[in-house]
Formats: sequence, C-alpha cells, structure tokens
Amino acid sequence: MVTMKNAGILLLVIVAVGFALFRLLPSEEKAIRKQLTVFSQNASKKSDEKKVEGLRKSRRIAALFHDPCRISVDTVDFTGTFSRQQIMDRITMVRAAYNTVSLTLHDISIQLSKENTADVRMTLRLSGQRQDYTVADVQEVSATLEKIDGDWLFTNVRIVEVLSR
Amino acid sequence: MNWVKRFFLPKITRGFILRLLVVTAAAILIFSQVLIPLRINGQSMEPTYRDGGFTFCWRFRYLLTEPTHGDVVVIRFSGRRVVLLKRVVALAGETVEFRHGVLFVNGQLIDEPYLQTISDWQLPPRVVEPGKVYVVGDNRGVVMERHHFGQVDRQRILGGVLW
Repeated sequence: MVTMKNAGILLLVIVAVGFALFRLLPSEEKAIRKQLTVFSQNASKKSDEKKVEGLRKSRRIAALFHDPCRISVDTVDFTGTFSRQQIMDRITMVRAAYNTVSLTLHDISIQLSKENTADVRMTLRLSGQRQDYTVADVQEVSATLEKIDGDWLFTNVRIVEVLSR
Repeated sequence: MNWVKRFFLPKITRGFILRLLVVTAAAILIFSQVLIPLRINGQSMEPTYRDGGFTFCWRFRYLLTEPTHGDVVVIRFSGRRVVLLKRVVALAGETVEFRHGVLFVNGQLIDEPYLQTISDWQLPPRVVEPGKVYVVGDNRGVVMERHHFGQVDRQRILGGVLW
C-alpha cells in the first residue's frame, strides 16, 4: 500500500539516484576540469624537485595547449601565437626561476559556447619562493578550449587586467 | 540545569528540525551573500590588515553610496573565493601620481596616516577613467612592480570590510 511515508522515501531515493548519476556520469565540463587539474598540479614545484621531473612536468603542461596557441600575458610581455615547444620552453624557464611554487585555480566557470568549444574563466593564485623573496600573485584568466581529437586543449589564453596602472 | 541538558541534547521533534533548517539556511544565505568571511593572506595591506588576519566583506556597503577616498574595498576576480583588499585613493576623473613614494591626487599631497613604511615609488600622473576607482595597498615598502595596484572597474568592487 502506498502511504505518504513510502512516497516520500521513494521521492528521496529518486532524487539521490538522479544526483549520483549527475555527479558520476562523464561530462565535457568534467573533462575540462580534469585538464585544469593537470595544469595546476604540474605547475606546482617542491624545493627538492629534480631537473628531469621539472622537464616532465613542463611537457605535461605544454601538452594541454594546442599547437599553436594564442597567449596574452601583457605584464610579462608574453603575447602572441606560440608553438607548443615555445610554450614548453617558457614554462621550463619560469619554473626554474622558482625554488618552490604552488598554483591553485579558483572560481572556475565553464561555458560550452558551441560544439567542441568552451570558454573558461578562473582565478589563478600563485605563491612561491624565488632566490631572495616570496612571491604571491593573483590573476584572472580567460581561456578558450577546443576539443581536438578527443582532448580539450587551450587555444587561447589571456590574463584579464583587473587593475591597470 | 535542565535547560543546559535541553540545549545540548534537544528532543528531536518536527519543530526542532524545522528551526534547525531555517537557522542553517539563514546562516548559509547571510555568510555567502551578505557578510562574506575573509581570511587575509598576504602583506599588501599591512599594517592595517595583517597576514593571517580575519574580517568580513560587507556586501551592502556600497548599496546606496559610492566608494570614496580612504575606503578599504574588496575586489573580486572571477568569483568571490579569492579577492583583493585595497584602499581607494582616487576617484574617476582625478589625477593620481606618486613622487618619491608620496601620493598626490590632482596635484595635492595626500596625508596617509595608515602608512608605516617608507617607499620610493615613482609613478607619472594618470587620470582615473570613468566608472573606475584607483586603489593601492597600505604596504608601500615593497617594490612597486611587485605590488598589485591601479584602477579597477566599480563593478568589480564586492563591498567594504566590516572592520
């Protein structure tokens, strides 16, 4: 016999199953978030990191970018269209300048604008130690990713100028 | 001591659950939309706000008024999880510059009692664009190139600090 109590429990179960399916099923947004996690994990550096490991991490990061990729980082004069090799060289150089780096991404918003294209906005927080001083920086990043051969790759990355002097 | 027992070990009734839900929902709403807790990370606002300190962003601070000189404002990036605390030093249409670490607005020297560090910043005059305010941190002891400051869209100001 269907009572109010049973109907309530059934409704709760349906909601829970629906929520679990929504969370567990693969989606394009999850695939993009995974790429962003790869980016932040490989950008981070510990003080005892070996050079080979550093190169491996730089390669993993560069593999997230389409070849070529448009990048605009006006503050460090790194603007233009760059090949994957150029991006890897730059990443290797920047990482080498730090003794330790921690990079985290926050407030990520992903909009699947058209088929196989996504616009991503996020806040990038970097903290680290260089030879003689501590670095703490926050930047807003606007990026376009495209699904190419099954992988979501950065095709355009721009640092948003929140404060302009 | 009966009330102590009732307070810490309440009887789970329908009324209690309802009150608990209302209080939880109100707390979530208030602390996510109105009074956003901020843990200070960094030294750019020292000595006013110390690294590791705590305050709240009061979202309604600029509901009826506009940010003005000397206000400490909360600036958002792509969301509210990571924000900047900065002090407003000039408004739209005003000219701002630094001469040997001293702030000048519209050519007038500005007294900044909240500063405790001496700086050597040199910044040529520039006019603040419409719809923007010019913000700087209180810690001017760092090299200018490593300090986040400049003009920011009014729309990016989330609110003011509670204390």
